[in-house]
Amino acid sequence: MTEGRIRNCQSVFRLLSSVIFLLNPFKGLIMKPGSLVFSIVVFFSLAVAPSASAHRVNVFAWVEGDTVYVESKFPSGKKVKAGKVLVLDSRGKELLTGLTDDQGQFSFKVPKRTDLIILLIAGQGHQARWTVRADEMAHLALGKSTAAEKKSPPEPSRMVSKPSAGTVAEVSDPGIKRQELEAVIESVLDQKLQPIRRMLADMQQEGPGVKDIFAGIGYILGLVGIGAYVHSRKKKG
Amino acid sequence: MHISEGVLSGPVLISGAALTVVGTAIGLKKLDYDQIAKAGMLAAAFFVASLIHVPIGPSNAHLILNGLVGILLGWAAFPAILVALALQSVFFQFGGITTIGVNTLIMALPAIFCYLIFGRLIHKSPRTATVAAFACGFLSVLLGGLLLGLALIFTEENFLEVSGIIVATHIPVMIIEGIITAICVAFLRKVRPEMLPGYLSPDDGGQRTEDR
Repeated sequence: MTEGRIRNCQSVFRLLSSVIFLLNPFKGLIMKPGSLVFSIVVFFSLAVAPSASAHRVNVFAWVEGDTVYVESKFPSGKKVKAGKVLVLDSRGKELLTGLTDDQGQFSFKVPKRTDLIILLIAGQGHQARWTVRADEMAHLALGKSTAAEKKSPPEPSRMVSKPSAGTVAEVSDPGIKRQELEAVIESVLDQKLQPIRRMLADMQQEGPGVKDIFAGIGYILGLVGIGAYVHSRKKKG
Repeated sequence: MHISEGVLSGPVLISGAALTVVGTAIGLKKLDYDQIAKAGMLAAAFFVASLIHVPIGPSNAHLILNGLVGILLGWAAFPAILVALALQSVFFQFGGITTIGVNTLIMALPAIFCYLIFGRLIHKSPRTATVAAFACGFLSVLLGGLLLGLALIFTEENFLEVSGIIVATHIPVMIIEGIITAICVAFLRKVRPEMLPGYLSPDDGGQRTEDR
């Protein structure tokens, strides 16, 4: 549903942009027969456009379990096929490389608990980057966290030993260790958060909107005004 | 045809920026009062054209319109394209701030080259004018693709392969831009011939009104 809505928005703004494009350069001349052909050509090219672009590329990555998932798209929603993915650590050292599959996805096991910089090279001068922060991998049993786990088991036993015998039975009854519980919550949360991650990825990858188009044209009009002003000053002086 | 941030090395970026500064300076010097509004309109058209995707074939390229900007503006195409690209990089995230010089060069240089070759021809007979305008729109994109390949030569290494892909994916764009440029020129010849550069006004006894 969200995908359909995004596509709708895109087609609306594409239509709008075409109207601006037609109106702007040839204001007042639009109804004349010569430009009719011109507008038909442009409108035709717009109406058919199934949206695909190649001037910007997006990459998005997240950690799930001990794996980092990378997803890449052009703003139009087209996947980046066989795009080169470089994974760098925070100091810019290359950790591993790979290619995206037909779905524009790539995944790898976390090699190291540092900030990971994911660089996507889509060819023809298109490149994008995404940083996975080290704290996204905080739950992983790599390095630091293993030490914490070794420490944690004695704690409950110490807690248990203090109270009277009756409560000991109650506490140990559930039979679930803290780590196991954490692991279960982790995987359930990962599942539940999946759609939200996807939504975030989609939002991050949206193309330019009507606002951007009008803002840009406004700037150009402003510059024309400045140019005219400078020239009029020259004429007076 | 926008190169992203961080793809090119320093020397390429700097030389691209330097050449763009020179081109823009020439363009601004040659941009006279009557042309300011026209330059603004064409900059706006160029700015928006990049949102129009050409769906034919395997390509996912978009319109560029550098040929049209070139034939109508001449050297003033440099500042017009520079402004439009700056806004595209800010608002659309096409290209990038550091690559603006190289990107401008890639699109503006072919435009001016085509203007210098075909600029005079668009005032000849209607047929010559149409062919010249088509060639202008077509060649501007083609040369832009080759320049893009050239700029990427230091990072992607295989010039022939890279430019081959770029040119191949832009063939529909070339044809469409050729048609658009031809139609625009034919139309302006009828309605507003004084908008075309190098126009010889019959009232002025053949004096050039806009020889830029």
